[in-house]
Amino acid sequence: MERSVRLKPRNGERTGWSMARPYILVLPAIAILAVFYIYPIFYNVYLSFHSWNMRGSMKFIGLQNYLELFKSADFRQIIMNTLVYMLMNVSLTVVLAIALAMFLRKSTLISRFIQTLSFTPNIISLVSISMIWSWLMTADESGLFNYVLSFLGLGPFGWLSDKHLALFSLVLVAIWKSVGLNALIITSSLGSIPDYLYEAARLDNASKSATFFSITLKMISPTLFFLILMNIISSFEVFETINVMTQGGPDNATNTLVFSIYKQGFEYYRIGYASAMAVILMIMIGLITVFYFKALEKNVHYR
Amino acid sequence: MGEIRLENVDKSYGDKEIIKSLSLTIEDGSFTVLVGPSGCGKSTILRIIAGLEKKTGGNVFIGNKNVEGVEPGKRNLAMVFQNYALYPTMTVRQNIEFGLKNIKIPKQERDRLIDEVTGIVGLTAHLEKKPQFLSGGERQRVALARAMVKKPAVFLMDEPLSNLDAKLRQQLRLELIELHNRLGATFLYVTHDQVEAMSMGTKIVLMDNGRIMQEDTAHDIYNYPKNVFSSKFIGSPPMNVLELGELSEYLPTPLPAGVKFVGFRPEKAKIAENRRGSGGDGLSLEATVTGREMLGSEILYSVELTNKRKLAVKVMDDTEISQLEYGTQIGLFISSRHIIFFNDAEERVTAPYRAESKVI
Repeated sequence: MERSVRLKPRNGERTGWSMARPYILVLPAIAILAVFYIYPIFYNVYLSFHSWNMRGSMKFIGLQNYLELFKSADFRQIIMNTLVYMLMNVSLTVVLAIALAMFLRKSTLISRFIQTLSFTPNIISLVSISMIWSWLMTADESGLFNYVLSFLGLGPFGWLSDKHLALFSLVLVAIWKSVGLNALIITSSLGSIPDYLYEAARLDNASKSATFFSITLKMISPTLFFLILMNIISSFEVFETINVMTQGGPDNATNTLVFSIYKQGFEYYRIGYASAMAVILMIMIGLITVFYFKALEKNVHYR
Repeated sequence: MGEIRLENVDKSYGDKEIIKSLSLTIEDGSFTVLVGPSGCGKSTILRIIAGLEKKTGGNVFIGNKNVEGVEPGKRNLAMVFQNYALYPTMTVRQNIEFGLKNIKIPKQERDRLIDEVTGIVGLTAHLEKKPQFLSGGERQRVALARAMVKKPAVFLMDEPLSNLDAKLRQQLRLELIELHNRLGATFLYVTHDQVEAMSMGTKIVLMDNGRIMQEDTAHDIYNYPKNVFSSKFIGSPPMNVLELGELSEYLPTPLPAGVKFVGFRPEKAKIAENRRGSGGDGLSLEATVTGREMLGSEILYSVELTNKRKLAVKVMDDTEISQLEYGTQIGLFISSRHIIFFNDAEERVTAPYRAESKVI
């Protein structure tokens, strides 16, 4: 009795400082959030209803920007590119990372060496990576890939100049950069699966594939869930590789939303038009995230 | 079907020899308990039989078939792990079903088998729950059901009750005995708890340091320990073992040849408050009470001999000697038929006049 009374604040203190204190404590965080996130989102939506070139006066044009976007064949292509890039990048990165992690889970000298090696691309800046890969993927035989393939009687391929291949080439760079980190995270998750589960599975006559799908994959499902979401979001944000390697070409084949927003906004100074695209990007990421949670969360086992 | 035979099985990790040329036959349909202190190799033996651990040498036969190179799942056995090893991502039903699915048993048959075993272990209400929402006892029952549903000839159990509280442990002990009677399969049970071993096993295999110290029924291992280790491991408190040289008042004659140690169970000593116990053939000792523990129906005294040697003595409560106080001088008398002799190799030797007589 006495104890519970002491825990409650006395009535007289329920005013002033004690009421305000929690709000004051969260104020710095809220202020940063408001200035750098919440305000820009609303300002972006506001801008998308205007025509503005960053210098002259802003002109309200209603839904004009959106109507133009929906009529544009280029914009449809951009959306498609973005989605195709995202699907290829996420699925290939995660599948390869799982395969690599399964190989790396035995801690031998070779596996530790490969683990370090596969992680290295993560510490190099994407711009440098893009420069290197631009050279590797040069269309004629001065590019390393085509040079090597020429010995096999293959190619030359227009890695970045063939409009059917260019988007895939960009995915390749993204995978090369991120598969090591993904594999590292999956490896640590694999390491937390207790051995006795595998022993129980052996006694239960489980085949290799049954063990993998029913035990391994399910046990690392929270990690995979998180990684896939991170990869989806980073796929939508792809910019540096496109900017350095293809500039969205050839023939718009590698033009994605973020790159196109940058182009429209900061090269052509069509701020309102770019803002409208940004709003659509925001809605897309939001919808995909919600859909992703709804579709997959019940398959995730949290310990 | 479920006879297990080990022939000269060796196991070592690097230089460390865990099991040294061990041979053992576990009879079909028996409830055999492997008991011993931790690190004695009992779990290793179980895992070698299961095929989870590779032996360094020797042969293992299950049902007269050499299981060298046979996968654990194909050995016609099931194992219950100490920590249950349930698949945390699966419901109780899926846990039990997994082994059946892997051997491609049709859905209808699977459902029938699951209904049957969950009925036996009382899990029907929990079938759709995940293990994390079950209590320790319920998890252990899932582990049992998962083993039972495969209808194996051999059940291997690795300290399956040690994660449960005392009351539940006792209850599950009885359930396991019932289950054994009902299934008629061979149970091989590993524990470090001698009470579990004594209460459950039709046969007890006592191990130390990778070797078998004694293989007997609970009654015989308690009353006729083959060596000092056996006498001290089985029984709570353990047998009092004294060196012959420590005893000035040694009485019984004749002594078997080569005796070095003399032992007796704490409950076999009779206390006489007037110091000298009754005469007759046996061992008389003088002692001082140094401690008293109330165990319920019994009282456990710790007493000290004149040479400072500590002994345990157990008496029934509600007798005139159940209220002795600290410091009381007493006499102890142990009848010679309750005295056990060991030689200097710590092996038991029998007195000539009562050789092979097992009447106590």
